[in-house]
Amino acid sequence: MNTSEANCKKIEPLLDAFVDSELEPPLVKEVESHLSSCSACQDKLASIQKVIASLKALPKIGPTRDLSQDLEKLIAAKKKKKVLPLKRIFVLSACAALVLLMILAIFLQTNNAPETALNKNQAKPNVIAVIPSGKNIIAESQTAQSNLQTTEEDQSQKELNPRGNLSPTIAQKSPNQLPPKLKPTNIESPSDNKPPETPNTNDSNSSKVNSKFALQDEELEIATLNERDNTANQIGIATDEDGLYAIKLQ
Amino acid sequence: MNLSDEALLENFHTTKDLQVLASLVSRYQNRVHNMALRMVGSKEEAEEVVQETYLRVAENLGNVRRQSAFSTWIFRICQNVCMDWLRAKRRRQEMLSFNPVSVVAESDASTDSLSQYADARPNPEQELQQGEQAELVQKCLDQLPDSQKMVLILHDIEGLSYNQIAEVIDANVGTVRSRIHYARARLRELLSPYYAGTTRTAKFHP
Repeated sequence: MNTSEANCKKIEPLLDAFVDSELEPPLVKEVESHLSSCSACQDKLASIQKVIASLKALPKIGPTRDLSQDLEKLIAAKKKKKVLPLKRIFVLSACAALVLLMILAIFLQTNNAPETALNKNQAKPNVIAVIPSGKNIIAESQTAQSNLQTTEEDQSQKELNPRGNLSPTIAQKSPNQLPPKLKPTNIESPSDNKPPETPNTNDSNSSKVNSKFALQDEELEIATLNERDNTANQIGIATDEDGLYAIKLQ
Repeated sequence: MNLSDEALLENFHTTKDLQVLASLVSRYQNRVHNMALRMVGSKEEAEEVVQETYLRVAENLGNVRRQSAFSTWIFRICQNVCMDWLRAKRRRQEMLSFNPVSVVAESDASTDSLSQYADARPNPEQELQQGEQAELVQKCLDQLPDSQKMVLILHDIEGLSYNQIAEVIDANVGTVRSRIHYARARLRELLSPYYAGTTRTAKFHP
């Protein structure tokens, strides 16, 4: 490749900008000096000029009417077009949200109730038994007989917990109204492992103990079923033949 | 009194009078229409492109950059509309054609037919001289890639400078220069049968 050909390759891409007077001054001089001695590049320049002339010769064609006068109508039409889909989108999304909410509500209603009852029964087996008013409230704890490790004071604090967490389990019922399996027994201190005794309200020890759990003038008597009645635990609410209503605590 | 574009723009911003905007865009109506016509090919389509351009101008008037002239900005919007239009048109054509191979064959055939057309005529140069030049040039122009076609139209037909074109197409001046170079080279090839015998007559006069 000789110097002239190398120059041609370098100059050729600059010819368009040269013709358009868009070339930087130093390059313009370089192109001019090359063109003065290169006929091939002169031909290329001429063909570029022809193409430009052909394009410039194309007739300038305007619109058939004044389109700028349609501007107001066009804007109004566009606004109409825009508003309708937005309304549709809003309505559709609102419907979809409503349906989803309904499905969610049904799902929660059907699934949550039994699940929570079961879980709560497992976690806290305590049950409150409600019997007619005017009775003395006697506390009985089956778990206290076997597992209770806390002091009586602790127990009374727990029983009187305003949140209703009456654990260890408490049974409150008048002795003559309780079914045989729910016959009240004296609460024992965790320190002594005395066997369960027959309830005796005149007994000084038991009255002392019971007084801690007894809530005078209360209409509620609380009995601890403490897993004796699995049905009650599973359902959360149970009734026996004596009209005992068992309600699972939170 | 003939107000400047900027004065009309200010007037529109304060009054929100669409007639003011209409008078502003009507100043560029012929040029914008001609540009659209050269890009999309038919008068009906070109008018739709112009209408869409006006709409976009009205919608985005608040976004006009202070440093750019309204003329450059309206050309920029028009070129965007043209490009969108051509893309949509091509998609429609692709969807309508059941066999993509037939499209390729068709486009090849059209190229071939153009060459055959050129060869069949005994004197293409005469044809050009007889006033068919515009049609032929447009046909050749339509065979260029859209981006190259656009810069040629903006420069050689609408007379914009390289800097203005760079602003319109949102590219740098080097890209504009390169595109113009390749577009003209391709157009030269396509038009060469009609220029035969006339090319060498041109002279360089420094």
